[in-house]
Amino acid sequence: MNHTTSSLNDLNQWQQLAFCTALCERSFPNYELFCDIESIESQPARKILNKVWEYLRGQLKSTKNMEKQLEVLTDLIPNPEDYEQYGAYPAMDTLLNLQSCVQSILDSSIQDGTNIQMLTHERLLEVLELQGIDVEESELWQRQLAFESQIIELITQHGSHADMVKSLIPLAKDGGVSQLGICLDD
Amino acid sequence: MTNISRYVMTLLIQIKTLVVSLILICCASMSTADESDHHHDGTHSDDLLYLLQYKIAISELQQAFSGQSPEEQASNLAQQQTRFNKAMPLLKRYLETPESRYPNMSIYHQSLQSRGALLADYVKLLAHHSEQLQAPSKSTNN
Repeated sequence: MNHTTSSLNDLNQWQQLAFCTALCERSFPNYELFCDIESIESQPARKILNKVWEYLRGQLKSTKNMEKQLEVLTDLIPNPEDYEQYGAYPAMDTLLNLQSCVQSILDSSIQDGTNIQMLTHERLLEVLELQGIDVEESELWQRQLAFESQIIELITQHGSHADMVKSLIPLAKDGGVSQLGICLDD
Repeated sequence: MTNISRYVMTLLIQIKTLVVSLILICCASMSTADESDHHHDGTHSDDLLYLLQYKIAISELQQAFSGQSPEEQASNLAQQQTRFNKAMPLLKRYLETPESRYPNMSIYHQSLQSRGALLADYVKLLAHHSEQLQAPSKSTNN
């Protein structure tokens, strides 16, 4: 039984945002691979993700610039129907998650933790299905559940946001391997 | 079935009733809707992906509404309607996904929670859209 879903509903806005940002960070290699193949710069999106981490650390002086970033992101999100490669979908997932994070910074009533988690799970299930792998036997699936539990455990500890983010970033990067098992160093 | 599953199911039924009413109200005012430019017939995960995308886009439009001129507000409402029209068939399909689609009860349970959250969000957006539709020249901040 996956306990992270029920736990997610108990998280406050900062914690939900931290959870979604960690999922976004872990899925970022999916977007980078898409950019690599399509010769697109991934840096603009990377910079926005870094801004979200900055916000979580409490170091972002003003959120005014985030409105502009939201517009930038909207233009960056790939339309999968324009591409032949399947990778456009996971890439879109990543940027949509990022967009939701930025929007959540601008409007604290937005809490997409459950949906972003489901989106991440759905995509992984789809990839496993395409490969004919049983979810119960999938190492990637087990890793994903363990990863989420670790994130929740970390962000629900007592401590400063800055300290938590310091531990959260390397955990979220997960050695540069995405939830779909994509690693650009391969 | 656990208590939480029962709660989610009850919530889903309640929200579904409300959302169907709102969809009917909304659709009645969307005669100029353009559904032809979204031909996506993708998978379940893609439905969720597009539903989240439309939700974010509509939310952005609604946030911007109060600071706009009457002409911009009219355009804003039309853009909201276009997105609602694209989202509603996907929402219906997403809600109808059977239990058998999921590999185990845990993931199905999670899906119910996601559906509940998404429905609640769309109900909120539709209700706000309805307010803005009735008073396009008034400020209707969230």
